[in-house]
Amino acid sequence: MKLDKTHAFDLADRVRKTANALGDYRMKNWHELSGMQRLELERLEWQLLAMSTQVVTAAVGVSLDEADLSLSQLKGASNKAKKAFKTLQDVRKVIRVATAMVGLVAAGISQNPQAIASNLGAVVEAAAA
Amino acid sequence: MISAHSRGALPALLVFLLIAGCVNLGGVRDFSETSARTADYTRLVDVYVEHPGLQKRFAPELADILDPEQAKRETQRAGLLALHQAIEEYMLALANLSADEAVDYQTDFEALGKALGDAGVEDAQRQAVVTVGALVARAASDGYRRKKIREVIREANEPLQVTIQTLRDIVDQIAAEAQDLDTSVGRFYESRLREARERGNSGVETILSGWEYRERDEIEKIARAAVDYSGALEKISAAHEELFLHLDEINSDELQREMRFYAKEIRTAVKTLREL
Repeated sequence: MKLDKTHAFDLADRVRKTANALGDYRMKNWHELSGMQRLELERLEWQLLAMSTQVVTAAVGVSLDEADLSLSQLKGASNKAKKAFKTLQDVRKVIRVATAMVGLVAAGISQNPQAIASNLGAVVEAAAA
Repeated sequence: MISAHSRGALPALLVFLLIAGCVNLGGVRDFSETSARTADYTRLVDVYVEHPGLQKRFAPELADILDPEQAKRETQRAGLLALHQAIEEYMLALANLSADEAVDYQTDFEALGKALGDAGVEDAQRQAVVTVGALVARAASDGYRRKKIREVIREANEPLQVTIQTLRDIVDQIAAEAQDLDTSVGRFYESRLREARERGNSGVETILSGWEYRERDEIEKIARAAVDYSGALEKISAAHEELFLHLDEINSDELQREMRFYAKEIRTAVKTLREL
């Protein structure tokens, strides 16, 4: 049976709670337990915690696998937003090209070769930006 | 050339454009920028990966279980960071799209007006091009922007909710792991203390207390940060759901106020993260 993430996280919680209960028992019954029994119970407590860590790692693996499709869908939406933002910036680009064109026309009218050259450069730059 | 008739209609057109054009999305921008900064916080990914090593400090005999576990978690690092990154990237894109600067062409049109002036176009006509042009461009762009924001939010909501929930589930586990480890570490030191007293060696009490304080302080900070981060993610999720449910009122003042309130709550929730 395939591990389900909800059950896996739930299992990890239960294992950790069992470790805690074991630890509580050890501390409450400290004087009734022999040194060996205390050590054994403490060893079991840490072992259960380590096992819960294993279960959490497995559950996270399943979660990440399950989230794959949503991740690519979310990236799709982000790209759509970026594209829309670029379109808005393109409007700005069109205005800049128009501005540079006006400069070019004005330079043509004034018959100033230097101004024509620099405004032609501005049109090219604005269009390429 | 603008005719006398057209000039007469200009004020009415300007008023119309001013009313129809300006879309206020300041609250959406505040929320999405704050969310992007929150998603950018990835310290808890390190905490998750390093947790088996932290446990090993108190149970070195379990290295054969904990070392491979840490190695497995290391391979999951990229996947965990991808969750953060996807949320951050989406929120940044939404913030850019909702920023007023995206549709404010006033400066560009002023440059065009100056170029027209240099080309010998009369002042009145030049001014009309600058004022009306900037407003028309803004109104048209704002309409497009509003439409696109609605589309993007509609498309993103479900995968965003799943992504946030996945991250929250993991962050909740980080909190639970830290809280339970903290309890066990407390018992670990209490046990060493009792053993020392039984051996008549009560002098080690101060040393043990100092160690316990340092170890538990670090673990408690992790637990607090994880709980707060989960709370912040919950608010991001709730705010986006609210946007999704009120797409038709995307530029209403009330929704903008609500988004600003969510942004403030998210900022408050993540304040403690900087301690870690």
